[in-house]
Order: sequence, then structure tokens, then C-alpha cells
Amino acid sequence: MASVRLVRVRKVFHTPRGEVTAVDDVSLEVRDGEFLVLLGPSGCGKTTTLRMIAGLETPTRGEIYIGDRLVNNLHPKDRDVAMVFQNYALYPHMRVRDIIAFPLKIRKYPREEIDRRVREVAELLKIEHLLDRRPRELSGGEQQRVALGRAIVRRPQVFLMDEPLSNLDAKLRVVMRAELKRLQKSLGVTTIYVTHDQVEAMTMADRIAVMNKGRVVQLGTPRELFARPANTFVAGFIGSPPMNMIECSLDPGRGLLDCGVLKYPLDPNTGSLLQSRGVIEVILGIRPQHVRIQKGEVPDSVARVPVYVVEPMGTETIVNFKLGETMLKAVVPADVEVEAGEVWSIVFPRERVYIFDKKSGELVA
Amino acid sequence: MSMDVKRIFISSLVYLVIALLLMSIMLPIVWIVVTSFKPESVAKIPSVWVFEPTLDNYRYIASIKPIWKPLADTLLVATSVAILSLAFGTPAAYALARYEFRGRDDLAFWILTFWMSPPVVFVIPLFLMFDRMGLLDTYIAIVLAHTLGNLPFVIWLMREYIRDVPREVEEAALIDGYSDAQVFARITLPLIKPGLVAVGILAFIFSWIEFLFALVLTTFNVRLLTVEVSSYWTIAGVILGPMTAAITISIIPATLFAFILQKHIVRGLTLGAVKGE
Repeated sequence: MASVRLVRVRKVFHTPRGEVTAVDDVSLEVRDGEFLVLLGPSGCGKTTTLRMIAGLETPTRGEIYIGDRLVNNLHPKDRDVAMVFQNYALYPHMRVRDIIAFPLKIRKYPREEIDRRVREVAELLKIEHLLDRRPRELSGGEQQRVALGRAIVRRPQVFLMDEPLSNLDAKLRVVMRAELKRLQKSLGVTTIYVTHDQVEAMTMADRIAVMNKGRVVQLGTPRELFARPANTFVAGFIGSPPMNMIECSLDPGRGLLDCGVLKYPLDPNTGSLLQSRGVIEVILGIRPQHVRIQKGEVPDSVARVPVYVVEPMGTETIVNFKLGETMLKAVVPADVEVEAGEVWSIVFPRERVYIFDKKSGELVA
Repeated sequence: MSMDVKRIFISSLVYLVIALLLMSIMLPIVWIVVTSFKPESVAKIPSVWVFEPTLDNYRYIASIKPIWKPLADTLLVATSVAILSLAFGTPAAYALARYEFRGRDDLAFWILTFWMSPPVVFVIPLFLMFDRMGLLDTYIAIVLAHTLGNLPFVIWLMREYIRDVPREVEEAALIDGYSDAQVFARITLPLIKPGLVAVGILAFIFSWIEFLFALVLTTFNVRLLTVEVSSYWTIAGVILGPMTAAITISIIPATLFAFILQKHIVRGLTLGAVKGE
């Protein structure tokens, strides 16, 4: 087992259309035994980061350490990492038994040792009955298990996983998500997992590194990211449905945020904080789960508007209000009776409201 | 009822067209094979279709003007060409398929342009070079010339086969413990075997049927079938009987390979799509 450390790593690709910076100055420490998820939209540099740790890409600048070893110039085979690919990358011309045994055979393990380990891994992953098949005779879920088997048979220092669940159907994905997390905990191997699916990240990770445009924009536990997103990007990426973001401008005279139809009274401290930083244009964020709505008039309501559309989800209901150009979503229990067209009061509990600087996107209060 | 009639009419029309196409291709070959069994008196144009078959022409090319040396030479040259074309072409194709470098696609296209240009452009420079090196009328000269002529299409076809191998499969092997060379030899090569067979046979056939380079670069020391067959056109006219016998013999190996090739091309296209072995 080992920690993984990235120090100011940068990767620039030379393409016919010029230079593209895929990873920009990323520093990151993955603790020994930790399950770290690199989360971000496609093209954010998460896969390139993973491939540099694997040794499939060379960093343009910066240092990568696995344990205490600087691995920048080490061949992938000498890094003692195992990788699970999105499309599994099983050797098409081999049988499952040989695919799992492959990393051990190359390393010249004794025959009995190989047989024993392959059997153990097959048992663990419940694929004993598939050992004599070839990859093309397996279903997606089975191929996925074989790819995992090949990774864990060697007991590497680090697991690298590149969207390993994204090719599975939705139902199987949920099952494998839990199994993978359990497996990682029981093996205790440091794992770096790339995904664009925030639900996967939230449910599996010890810590999440959210990436955007080649940079890590926030690193923290799933709870931290949810409770205190550092900027509008993280706020919008994590949580479902996404956080409501409303553009407002500070009205210091009246001590409130003017958001068109909606007026949000600031507490004096926040107002003076914004003023002292010279932040006038802000984005007010509130998660749909935290928006409270009431049918009658309420003294502290931020707006009274007609319901635009109601989306019943079974366990809960999503109520949409149209505020000028933006749509405000509120999640309410399913037993609340709401009809489109009715006028409701909207309440933003003060402790649930995030205020971001519109220019930088950073969280201010 | 009328539907049936219509269907029968359409399918007979299709078969008629196919038959006509086949005839246009097969007729010259049939004529050659038939002529090779004619006695000398009728082995001439216009053709006579009723005659007593004889093996005289085959006896002629077996002993009077033996075809064995050209047959063996052509086999040796074409085999060497196929092996060398793959040996040089596959690594080049691998580099062009897998490595990112400046001007890669331009380089690949430049290679292809050699295949688009007429061979006659290269014959004179090659003749002069081999003459200077004292290699005229040697196996080395004709094998090199044919290999050179094959490389553009070998590189292009192998590049496509290599691109069909998922990059991740090679990368997985790198992480699992293979060096770059081992990945190429033990992962990529086995996976492109159908391609190697198909392209190798194509290279063999191209060398087998090539005439221009053979005519200019070889004479007696090395004797290829295409040149041998043309030598039946003498000052006394075309010796049609033995010539058609020689052609008949010379098209057999290439035809056999073409049948094998057909099977492999079909397999290559469906590789991975078919379940089981």
C-alpha cells in the first residue's frame, strides 16, 4: 500500500490546432488506503491525471510520487499499479483464467501460487464458472468483474479506475457501486477513481477532488463538498437536482439582495462583508431540498409567485417557480398538495443560503 | 400466384447478369486452359473447339523449355517479398498508428502517394542503382524492388488492422508488466493475425503477377514466370500451346492463395462480432 502525491503537475498536448493544457498545475495527496474520486465533466483533465499516475502519459511538468518513489520516468510496468479501464480492455485472444493470471505470469510467480491466487480472486468476485471462457463470451458485468480480477490478483500498491461502471446498465451499476466500495475497504488498497457521475463520487469516495478545466477546484469529503461548496462550479455539480443559482445585486441601502422578483434580506454582518470586499454582483445559491414553500402569506418570504410546473417523483415532489429568466426548484414531501398556477410563498432559511461572487464564482458567505 | 411469377422472373434476371459477368471474367481463363490441351496443329487463332486433347504442351514446358526454374524462382521471390513486406511494413504501420508525432498523417499520406504513382517511374532509377551495385539479375534486386513496391499498401492496410485493436488493451498489458516491445509482439501481433495473413497473401500475389520490374531487373540468373511466359513470343511468332500451358501452371498458386485470402478477409471483418470460435 502507498500514498500517491502529485506536485504541481501539468500536461500540455500538442495538437494540430495548437497547444491544449489538459492538466494545469494539479497538486494532490492521496492517503494510504484512501478511496479518492476525481470528479468532473468530460475534458476536465481527470482521465489525463489518472493516466499520468499510471505512466501512460508523461507530465509536461511537475512530480508524481507513489509512496516515496518519484515515478515520473518509470515505465508503467515498474510502478506497481493496476488499472481498470472503462471498456475493460480484456485481452480478446485469452481465456479468463489466463487474463487474470497474466500479471502474475509476467512476474514469474510459481505455478501453484498463480493457480491459488486466481482461484481466490475468482471466488471473491464470483466468476469461478467463467474461467474457461473468452471475453467476447461474457456479458458487460462479467467482463467488468474479470477486469477487476486482473487488477486485484497482483495486490498492487494503487488501483486506478477510469469510469469502470459507466458501461454497465443502470441497475447493475448500483449493485457494482456498493460491491466495489466494499472490496476496496476490505483490500485496503489506495484507490484513485475517475468519474463524471456525482452520485458515484458521493456514494463511494472517502474524499473527492472536483476538477474543472484542468484544475482541482475543490478537495474534500463528500459531506464537505455538499455542505460547503467552494464555488459555483462545485455547487452546481454536486447534488441532485442541482443547486438553484440566482443572479442578484447588492442593495446596501436596504440591506438586501435584489434578485428581480425575489428580494433576499441580508443579515447585517453578511451585508457589510460583501461591501468591504466590494462585491456587488452575486449569485445566490440554495439547494432545492432547502427551499421552503408555504401557501399563505409568510412574513419572512423572499417572494410570492405562482407555481410554474409540478413534477411528482413518488417519494417527493419537485415544484418549479419561474423567477424572470431563471427556474427555481423546490423539493417538498410527496404529501404536500401543490397545483400549477397557485400562488405560494417562498422562504430561504438563512443558514442554507450560499452567496457567491459572480465574477470569480468563489463562495463569499 | 403472380407474385411468384414476378419473383422467379427477377431472380432469373439476377442470375443472368451474374452469369454474364462470370463469363466475361472466366472466358479468357477457360480459353487458356482449353488451349493448353490442344495439339500443335489447332493451337492457334481462330480457335477450334473440337479436338483431341493432348499433354504435348505440358511435356514441352516440362522438358524442352523447362518451367521448373522460373516456377521455383517465382515461389522463392514472392515468398520472400511477402515476408519482408510484413517485416518492414508492420512496425512502420504500428508507429504510424500508435505514436503521436509531428507530421504523422502527412508522412502516412506521402507513403501512399508512392502507390498512386506509376511503377515505370521507379524502374529506371532502380535499374541504374542495382547496376551500379552489381545486383542486376539477382534475387536481392527483384525481392527488394517488389518489397518496395508493396510497402505503401502493406503499411496502409496494416495500419487499419492495428487501429482496430483497442489502445486500452495494449495499455492494460503495459501496466500489467509488459515492455513496449513485448506488448507489440505478444498482444498486438496475435490480435492482427488475420490482417497479417491477408496482407501477406496480397503481397505474395502482387509479386507473383508483377511483370515490369521482373523484365528490367532480371534475365537468366533469376527467371520469373511472367517473363518466362512472355518469352514464348519469339521471332517465329507466338508458340501458343506451350505458352498457355505455362500460364495455366502459373495461375494455380495465386488462385489457391486468393481462395484462402477471401476466407481471411471475411474473418478479419467479422472478428469480435462473432461469438464463440
